[in-house]
Amino acid sequence: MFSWLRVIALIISVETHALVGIGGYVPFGPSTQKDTTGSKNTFSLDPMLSVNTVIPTGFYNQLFLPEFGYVFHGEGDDGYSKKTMLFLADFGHRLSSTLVLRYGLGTTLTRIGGDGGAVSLRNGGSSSTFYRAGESETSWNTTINFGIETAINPNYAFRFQTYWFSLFDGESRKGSYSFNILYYL
Amino acid sequence: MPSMRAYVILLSLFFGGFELHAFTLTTSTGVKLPDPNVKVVIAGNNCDAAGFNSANALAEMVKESVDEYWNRISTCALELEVTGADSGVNTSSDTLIEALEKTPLGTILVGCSDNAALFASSSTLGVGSINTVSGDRGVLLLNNRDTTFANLEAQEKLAVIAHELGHAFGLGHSSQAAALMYFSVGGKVQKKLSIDDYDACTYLYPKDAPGGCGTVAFVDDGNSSGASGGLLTLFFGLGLMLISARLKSWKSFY
Repeated sequence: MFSWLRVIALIISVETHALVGIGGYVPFGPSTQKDTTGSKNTFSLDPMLSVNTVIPTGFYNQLFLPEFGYVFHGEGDDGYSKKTMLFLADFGHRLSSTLVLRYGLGTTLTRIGGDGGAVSLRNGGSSSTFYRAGESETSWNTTINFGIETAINPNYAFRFQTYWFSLFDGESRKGSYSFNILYYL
Repeated sequence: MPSMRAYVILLSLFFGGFELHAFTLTTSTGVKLPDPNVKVVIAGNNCDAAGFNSANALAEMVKESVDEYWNRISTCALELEVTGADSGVNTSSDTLIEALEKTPLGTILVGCSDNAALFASSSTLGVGSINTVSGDRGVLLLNNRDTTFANLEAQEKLAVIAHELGHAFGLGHSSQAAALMYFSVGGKVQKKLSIDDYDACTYLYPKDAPGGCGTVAFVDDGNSSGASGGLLTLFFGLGLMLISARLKSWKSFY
C-alpha cells in the first residue's frame, strides 16, 4: 500500500494532461469470421470509453501514457454479457507537435457472464438441450501495444491503436485494434 | 475541416457491436476438462470409410484441425496436443459411452466407429461429448459407417473435427450460424472461428492473472479466475483521480 502511494505521489508531482476518449474496439479483427461466407471481421467496432493521462518524462520527447479503457460488447437478450477492460502502460514518442507514436504494455481483462438456463437447439435431425453460461469468468492477457495519435485541434485528437496478444507465439498471436477520438480536458 | 460532430457520426457508423452471445455448454454446471493442457489420443483402429488409410493419417488431420481452430484463441487457456495414434485403443464399433470408458483421464480420445445406432443417419458426420458427470475426459467419434465424411472438402473435414472436439471439451451448440459450434457445417464456409467461439472457449478455459499461482484468495461476485483485478482497478482509478485533481494547462500539450 505504501509503495503504491509513493508512486501516485510521484506521478502527481509532475505536470500532466488528462484526456477522455470515445471510439470503437475490434476484438481480434480479421482473425475471426463474421458470417457463413467466411468473411472476416474488420470494422465491427464495439463501443469503447477511455480515460488517459499524458505525463511528459523530459527524456528524448518521451511521454508516459497510462490509460484505462472499457469496451461495451453489449448484453444479449439471452442474458449474456461481455466486457473488456484495458489497463495500458504506454509510452509515446513525439514525432512532431501534432503526432505521437505510441508503444507499450497492457493488461486486458475479458469478462464473460450469463444468467444460466437451458435452451433447445438443433442437433442433427432433431433438437437437444444445451445450457447457457451461468456464472462470470475473467480471462487475463498481457498485450504489447502500438499506435499512432494525431491532433485534430488543441482539444481533439484521433488515435489508432493495436493490441497484440501472444505476440511471440506464432500460433495464437492475435491483434485487436481500436479507433478513438480523444478530448483533452 | 469537418466538425467534431461529423467525426463522431462517422465513428458511430462503424459500430457493429452489441452482438448477441449465443454459445452454450454441454451441462448446466459447465463441466470442463480438469487441465486446459489436453492431450488428444488417436485410436489405432481402421478408419477407411471415413477416408483415412491409417490412424496416423487421422492424427495428422486432427493436429491440423486444432492448430487451425481451437489452439489459436489468445484469451483461452485451452491447448490441445495431439499425441499420435495408440494401437492399443480400438473404437471400431463403439458408442460414445463405450469410447469414453477407454479414454484416459484428462484426455480426449479421437477415433472412428461404424456403430449403427450412433450413425443411423449418413448426415451425422461425427459425434463428440465430454463426460457429462465428471468432465474428466472427452471423446470424438467419426462416422466410419459410410463415406460421407470422406467425401467432404478438406476444409469441411477440419471444421467437423474441430466442432466435435468443441463438444469433447465441454461446449454445446451455438445459435449463431457463423460460429463453428453451429449445429451444421453444411452450406457455409468455416475458415475461422467466430467471436462467439472465442467467447465460449474463453468462458470455459479463461487465462489466469499474470503471476497467479492459485495461492491468493479473494472474494468475487462471480467466479473470476483472476486474483487481483479489483485491487488493480482501485489503484489505477485512484491514481487517475489524483492526477486529474492536479491538472493545470489542459490544452498546452499540442
